[in-house]
Amino acid sequence: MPGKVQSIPAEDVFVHLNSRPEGLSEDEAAARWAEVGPNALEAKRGLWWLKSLARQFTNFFTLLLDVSAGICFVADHVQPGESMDVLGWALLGVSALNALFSFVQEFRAERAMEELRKFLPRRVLALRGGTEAEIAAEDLVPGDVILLREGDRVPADARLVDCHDLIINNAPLTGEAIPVALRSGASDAELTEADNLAFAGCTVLRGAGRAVVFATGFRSQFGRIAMLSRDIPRTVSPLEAETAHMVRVLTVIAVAMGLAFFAYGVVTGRSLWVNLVFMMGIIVANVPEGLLPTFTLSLAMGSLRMARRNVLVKSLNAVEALGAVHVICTDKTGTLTENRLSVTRVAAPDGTDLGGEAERSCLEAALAASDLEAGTEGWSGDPLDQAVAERFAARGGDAAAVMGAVGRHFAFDVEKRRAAGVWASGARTRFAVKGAWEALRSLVTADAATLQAADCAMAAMAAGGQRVIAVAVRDLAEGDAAPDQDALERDLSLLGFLGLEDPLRPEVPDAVATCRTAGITMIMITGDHPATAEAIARQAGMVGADVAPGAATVTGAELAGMRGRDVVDRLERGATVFARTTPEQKMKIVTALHQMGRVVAVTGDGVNDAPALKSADIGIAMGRGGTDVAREAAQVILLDDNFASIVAGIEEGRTIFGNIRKFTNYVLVSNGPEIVPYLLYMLFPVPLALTVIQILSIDLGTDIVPSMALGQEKPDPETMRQPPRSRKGSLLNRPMIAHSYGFLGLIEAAFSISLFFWVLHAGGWTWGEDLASDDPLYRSATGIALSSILLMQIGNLFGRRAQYGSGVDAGAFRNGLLVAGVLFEAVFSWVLLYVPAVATVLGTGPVDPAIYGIAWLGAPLIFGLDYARKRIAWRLAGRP
Amino acid sequence: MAIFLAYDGSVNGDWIARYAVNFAAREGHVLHVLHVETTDVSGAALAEKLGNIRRIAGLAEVAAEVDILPMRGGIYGGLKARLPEGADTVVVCGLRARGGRRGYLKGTVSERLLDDQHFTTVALRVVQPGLLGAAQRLLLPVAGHRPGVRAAHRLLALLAPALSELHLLHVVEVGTFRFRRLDAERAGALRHKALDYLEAVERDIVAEIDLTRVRVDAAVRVSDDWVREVLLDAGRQRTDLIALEAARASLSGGLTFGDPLEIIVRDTPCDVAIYRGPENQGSA
Repeated sequence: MPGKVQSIPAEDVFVHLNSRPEGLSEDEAAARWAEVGPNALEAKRGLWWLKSLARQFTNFFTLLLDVSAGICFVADHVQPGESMDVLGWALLGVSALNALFSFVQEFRAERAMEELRKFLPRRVLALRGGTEAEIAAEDLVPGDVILLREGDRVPADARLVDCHDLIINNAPLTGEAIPVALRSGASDAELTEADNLAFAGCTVLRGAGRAVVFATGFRSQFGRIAMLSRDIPRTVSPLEAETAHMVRVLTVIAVAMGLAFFAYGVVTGRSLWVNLVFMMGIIVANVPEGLLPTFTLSLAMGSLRMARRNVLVKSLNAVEALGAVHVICTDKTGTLTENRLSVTRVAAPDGTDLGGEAERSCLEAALAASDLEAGTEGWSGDPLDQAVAERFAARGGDAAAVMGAVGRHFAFDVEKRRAAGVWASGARTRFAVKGAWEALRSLVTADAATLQAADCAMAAMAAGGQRVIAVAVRDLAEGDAAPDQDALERDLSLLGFLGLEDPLRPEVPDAVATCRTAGITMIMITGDHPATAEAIARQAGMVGADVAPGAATVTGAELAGMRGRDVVDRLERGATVFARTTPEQKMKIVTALHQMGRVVAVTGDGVNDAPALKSADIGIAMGRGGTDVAREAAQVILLDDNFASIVAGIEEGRTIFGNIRKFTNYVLVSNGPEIVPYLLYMLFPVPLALTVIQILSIDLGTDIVPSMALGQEKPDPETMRQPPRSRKGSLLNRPMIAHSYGFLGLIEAAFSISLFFWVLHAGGWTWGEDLASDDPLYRSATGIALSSILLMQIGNLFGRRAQYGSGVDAGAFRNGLLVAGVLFEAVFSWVLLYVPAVATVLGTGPVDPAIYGIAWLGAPLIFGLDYARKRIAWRLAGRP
Repeated sequence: MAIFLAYDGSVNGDWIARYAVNFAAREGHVLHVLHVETTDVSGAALAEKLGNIRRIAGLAEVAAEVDILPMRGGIYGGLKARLPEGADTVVVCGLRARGGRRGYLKGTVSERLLDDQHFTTVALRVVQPGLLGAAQRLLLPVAGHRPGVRAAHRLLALLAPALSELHLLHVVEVGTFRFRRLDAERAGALRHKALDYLEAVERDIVAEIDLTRVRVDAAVRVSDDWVREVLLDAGRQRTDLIALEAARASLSGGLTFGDPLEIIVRDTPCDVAIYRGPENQGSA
């Protein structure tokens, strides 16, 4: 089999990488640099931002607002002095704000790259032409010889040719916090697992080494993470997709109707200018101009509510997308668990539980091999050591006294996988070792049967999901003060095993149960041992008691051997726990879930989680324990790292979507009475019941506050008892169109048009008579039409609060915006008739107060008819 | 198969030589190193570099036979005169080391060798010399037509000894307007249809090449940009080498700076091999 850079002997590395022990010459390095480029993580190419900006300004959403603004300017031209141009500018402002906001969101994604760059050093010590020199890290090329020292960040992927006690923290690359001891000899391991390679972005914790660079920039393993984080496109959020669909549908309806009536007008011999004006009117009536800005406002306010629940949302679309989630792929440590170790069991070598003095003695020995410092807030040091001290104290031991009696301490050795200490225990001087059983077994003096029993005990505890630490001691004879640890580590007597667990967060089981009720699938993806992971999943309720051990668990090794289709199949068969996985495998799972049509949320905290966070529909980073890179790559940050907060965010997201549906429904209803007057005007010899300015006063005026009020409605108790909504057609679907236009819209239209003709008739108007726009009779008639629409919108507003209920309850009066909206509509319905200044702007005039009083009947009329429909629908749905 | 290395004396050429040595180690243990004399590399430097290639070949138990060739109307003519025709002649050559405005392939000797179509040509860009020419994870984008599959088989056979993973990727490309509006259901239908085709390609490959130790995966992506998908998949799979078929009838007629091949070669996170065999003759 051909060689790999990690599998060749150190002395052959120079030949294979066309280098030499004294390093490359400057000329050679320059030639290579020209071929492979700088050792840097570059931002996106060229003018990508210009393309992004252009895309934001040309999306349907923005274009529709621009068209609406254009309509306002035309209306201002037709009827000057009615402030239509101000409305036009306001719409253009909203359009620009929306586009810029989206652009800023996209631009911010580049900040993840900035954070990644911080992991690479600026300067590096290298050998060039036999001379040790500090050069810019960007100038490194494959074949360069670099020198690594304690505290350095590794600038590029390099093969070690010489090293002394080199310990490296590979966490940025592997997510594994435990340091790795490196050497220079050949290795048969895979690239990222080889112990003779130093990888870009990782830190030298101890020792020194000499290495030959073999991959730089985006070709390094770290660079590949950066490249994926940069290039993986964000998925379109469900709301974005549905908004685009809704805008398309409404635009098609508006333009089709406008063109049809334009053509009709031409055929019936009306003038071109009149036809154009009425085509514009039809379009204005059909387009809910205020809806899209209200979306933005609603999402922004929703993001504030989420922040109060420890869910910080970076992108407004993520506010609702969280509510659309079908699957949550979550980490274990720190998210489901408390991220602190606790000794939950102390067992004898044969596996039986220790208690009393025997337990205390075992804990005392473990404590003597610990490295703790007393602080004002208790012990500080390694979490494992803290857990031992806590348990010892809980069993009545004096941890301070034991620590004070420690004469010598041997810190945890990464290679040996154990720590040790010598302490005075009463009259005796004892040597204690604690660490992995595999690391202690050969040091323990015991017969084969005892060792075998200990193997079984350890395996049983590990299978139960516990992290197992063995504790062994030796009594030292007087004057037995061996100079080093190796000499002391012999003839040990095994005291027992400590079983440690990272306890489940207490709120997690309830949150998991809520997810189940809400039809959300939960998947745990962790680097931990399968037994530990499954045990936590069972405690949390993610894996049911009826599921056989291991049946819901997939290991990273198994996953690596699976094809995409197999992963989908395994997920469909209920795989819930993915253990011993690598961060790259998160993406494999996300891809499979996307192929299943699921909306996926993924949590992550490490640098190497960034690509998975970006490829998910919702990337959720940890606010406390996460890295800056993960936070920048994610759309949502959990301020308390708590799984329960994700569920709270989902509830909020679902509520927001439900509220968006409510106010979309509410707003579309007023389109009915806005459109019908134009149809009547085109088809019959009657005056126009509603002018363009009056339509805009509804769409961009009176409807806004009530819409915002619906956007603030509290979560319904049913919210988390429904399955996740379908990915398509949930916002604007046929039932909603039929209900808005065909039912409530027609009721409003019929009532308002009736009042319009009543006033005309009472004023002496005759069929076919043309009225001037400033005719007082015409102004009064259009005034009552507009006023009645506003009053009926009050009835519509209450009706929209509940799918089947009346919508009139105490909650309505606790929603301040709702009260304000009702008052505004009520007052404005009077003002527009009887306050001359307003009536002049809107082209309206006063009516007989009795008729205005009749207009008030519109509110209970629409509310009552809609409530009757709800009751019928309730019965048809088979509910009691 | 007879392995020929078209060697230009550059650093990139040294790295490409690793692939040629590994190919030769599988096929007859003889590597024909062809160098057309130019003034670009001094005699002493060339001798040192060729000596290095011999040493590396020796470590792989390959005999490196070096031919220093005269120009015949250029480097391409010199090489062409020495290369036997036939699919079993495999010419390993390099792409332009510095892309810049000229691109990596356009106007190069490698482009002419690929265009020649009288032998199998593998043009490489090596950005990971640490692989030592032994790619373990191969990404093989499969187009929607079959003529190039035979040449791919030959390349796969040469790479097989080092391979641990083979990812077949087929990108169903749809227009941007349609792609933005494509729902999961329709995307799934497109994916399933393409997966059947891709699995047929996989069966052909597995039937012909011994990949028993290789994990083979086949993936279909629906996208409006196949170049982006190839590059992203290379990142996701931690690919060592992307093998791309040069499918067009004439590369020199169609290659531009914005050409997909050029973009992949430019932005690649790993090594890239562009291959073509005589079977491609006449393919569109």
